[in-house]
Amino acid sequence: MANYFNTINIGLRALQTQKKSLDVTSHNIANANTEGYSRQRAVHATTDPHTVPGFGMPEGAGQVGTGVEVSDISRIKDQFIEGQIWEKKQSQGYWDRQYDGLHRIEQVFNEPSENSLSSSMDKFWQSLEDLSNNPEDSAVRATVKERGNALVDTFHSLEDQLSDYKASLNRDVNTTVEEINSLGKRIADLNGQIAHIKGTGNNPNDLMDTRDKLIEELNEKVNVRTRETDRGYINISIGGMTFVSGDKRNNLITEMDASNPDEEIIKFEELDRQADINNGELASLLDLRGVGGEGVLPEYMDELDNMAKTFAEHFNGIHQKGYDLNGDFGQEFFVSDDGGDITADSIVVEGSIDDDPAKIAAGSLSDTQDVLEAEVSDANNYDENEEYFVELDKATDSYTVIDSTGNIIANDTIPASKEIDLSTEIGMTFSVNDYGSAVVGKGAGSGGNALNLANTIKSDKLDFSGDGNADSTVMDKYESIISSLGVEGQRADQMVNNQETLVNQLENQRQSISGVSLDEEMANMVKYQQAYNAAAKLIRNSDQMLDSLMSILR
Amino acid sequence: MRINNGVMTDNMMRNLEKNMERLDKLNQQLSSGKKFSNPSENPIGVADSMELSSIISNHDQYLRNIGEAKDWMASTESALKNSGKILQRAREQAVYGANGSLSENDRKQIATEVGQLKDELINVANSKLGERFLFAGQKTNMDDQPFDADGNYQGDGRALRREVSPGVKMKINTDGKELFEDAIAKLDDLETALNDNDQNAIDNSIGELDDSLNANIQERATVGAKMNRLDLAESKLDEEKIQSQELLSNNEDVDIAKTITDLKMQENVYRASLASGARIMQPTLVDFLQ
Repeated sequence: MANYFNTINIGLRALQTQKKSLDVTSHNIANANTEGYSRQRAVHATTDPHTVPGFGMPEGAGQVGTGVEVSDISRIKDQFIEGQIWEKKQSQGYWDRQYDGLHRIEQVFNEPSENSLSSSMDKFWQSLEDLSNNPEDSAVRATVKERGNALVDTFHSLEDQLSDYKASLNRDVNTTVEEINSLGKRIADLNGQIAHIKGTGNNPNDLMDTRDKLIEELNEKVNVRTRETDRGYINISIGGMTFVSGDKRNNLITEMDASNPDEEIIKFEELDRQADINNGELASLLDLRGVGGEGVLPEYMDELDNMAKTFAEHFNGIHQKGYDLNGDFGQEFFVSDDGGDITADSIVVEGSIDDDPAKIAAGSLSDTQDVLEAEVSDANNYDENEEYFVELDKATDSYTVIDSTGNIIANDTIPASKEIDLSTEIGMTFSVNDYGSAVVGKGAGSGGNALNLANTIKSDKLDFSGDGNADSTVMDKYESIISSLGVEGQRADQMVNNQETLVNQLENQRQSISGVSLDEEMANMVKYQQAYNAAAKLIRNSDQMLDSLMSILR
Repeated sequence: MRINNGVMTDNMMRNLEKNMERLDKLNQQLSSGKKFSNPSENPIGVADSMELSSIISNHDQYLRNIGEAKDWMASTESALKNSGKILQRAREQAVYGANGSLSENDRKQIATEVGQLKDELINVANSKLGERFLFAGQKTNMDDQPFDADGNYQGDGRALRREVSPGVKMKINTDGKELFEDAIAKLDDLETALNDNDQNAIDNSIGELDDSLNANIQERATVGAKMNRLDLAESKLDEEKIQSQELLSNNEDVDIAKTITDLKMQENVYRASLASGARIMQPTLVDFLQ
């Protein structure tokens, strides 16, 4: 027997269901532009029919249904794509930061420009060439000194800016760790709420969206792994150690590394163990700043120190072979202001030269260095007022050294080493470059050593790697530093673009699946509205039917 | 793929951003005139630019060195020309003095003039360029003069060299001792011979003065040849400098015509993407349901 009230009940359920669906639709429309929002769908299902026919049940055609209900409000989301996005975000965060860092270092070096190390070097070189033209001119000497100071200042300024950047990277590490902690805290809180709501059989869709968004942000910052539990928690580990477990979070802290000052290290507070950070922004910051003295910034700072030291030592060696305007042999031109090794930070022009540019050793003992270079090897036997005439005869491969009064000091074949040692005779050694003749002694107008000094910048090959091979000039070395910086920057730029393309594609896919389509929602709205109207009519009809029945009784 | 409003706006925004980036890049190139400003934009280009700038500064410096060397040699040449004239005049006096018909007194008068010529020659031998003695060797700023009143040489006769192109050094000074000490002594001899009225010695002087004149002419020829060499080196450096500047410009300077065309094209693309964006963003079913 058909139950009249059944019809009304079906109508009522239908009304409720369409109304609820309309609510879901309006929620979707309202959140069409909410970041991280996944569209939701009201899943309609028939309600349970009346029980199977039996003795108590009348015979009839089949089972009559009891109507509709919203069985589930589901979140349309592909968790696999979400996982991929999370993973890619780590690399994206890493390379974004690398690019920023390398770009910053590029700006510090400021190449190519008029105010860079290479242009300071170049100006210093020019002043030394001028000195070789006018070695007795005090204005030219003062220029050499000032250009030397400008070069030293450029080294200092590079070093200062790189050190400042290192300090700011340490601050960034601290801030990022705080952000990670805060994200962890919010994720743990959401875990708790989500598990609670799921326990009651509901779907906390919006909370889950928020949690996904936070986890995505966390992935940008650091390498994390996630695992979802049956209760609805997402547990998170960093480098194999638990960071978020259920509604609990293990705090990360930073502290100065005892063995590497200027380096903040990251630890799990409770475990008191160092965290293994290998991807995301945080790892990028650590790689830029350096871990245990190894990293992008330390590499360039070391290169700069090495360049300053190798160049200064070579320059000093040449300077000490020449003599100054007073006829005294040169001292060290560049020294360290802290008494230690020369670095980009400590290099300065030696004080007495800075006070008196006459002390710049522009003169060289041999007036024809193409033929012969002379060096004082034994100051006791050396007479600084004497001059010698040296003749190198190609035909007999022999040399003759005559003093100013015409006495022959030495006459012998040139040794295979091309080094003539007259330490005991006149306190000097000669190294032979070619055949011909040269005068050895001192003269104020000699700019020979100034040329040698100029050559230290553009011609002399130095041993920067310490492998015993003098294989590049200081300018070449510097150019190679700049181009390796450029190549690294370019690579980071490409990686940023690659990661961006990958993430964009995935985000597009995610948007395609989870994004709200207004057309679709409008169509649904019309659909639900019409179903609602129809259900309302159903109730009115039932009501009329009941009325007709009741009128019999009147 | 399910296309919805989000997908479309996201894509449009991304493409707009890319177009803006390209526009910005072209704009930057045009306003700076350079193809790149950071090493990472073009590592090889930047390294080449640094190398070429260094080469151009080399050329500038060598051109300055050559300028200095040429100044020095021009001064040397004019000193040599003057000393040649003096020697020529002295020779004429010697020939005149050798004339048998002259009296002792006449010869004494000639001797006075020769004495004057000798002093003049010492003056020339002490010539300076600025503050620097031309013929003192490397003792260019010595307190005394390179030749004292008796014509004794006090310089050091050492060579002055200038780097006139990479690795090429040229001796720019003339050895004063060789050239002048001897000539001054000969004028001295002639003066004495004239004073002593010694005709034989006067005859000898003529030949000796000829030797000095020859040496003078030879040295002038050498200086002249060196100046030619410097001129050659100078024009070669000038040419190389222009080439390097061209290379540098090709390497880093923007091709304005091409970049402006690119910019216009890019601008059109940007406009088109804006227009299409405006079209797709507006209509939804909302617009058609009343």
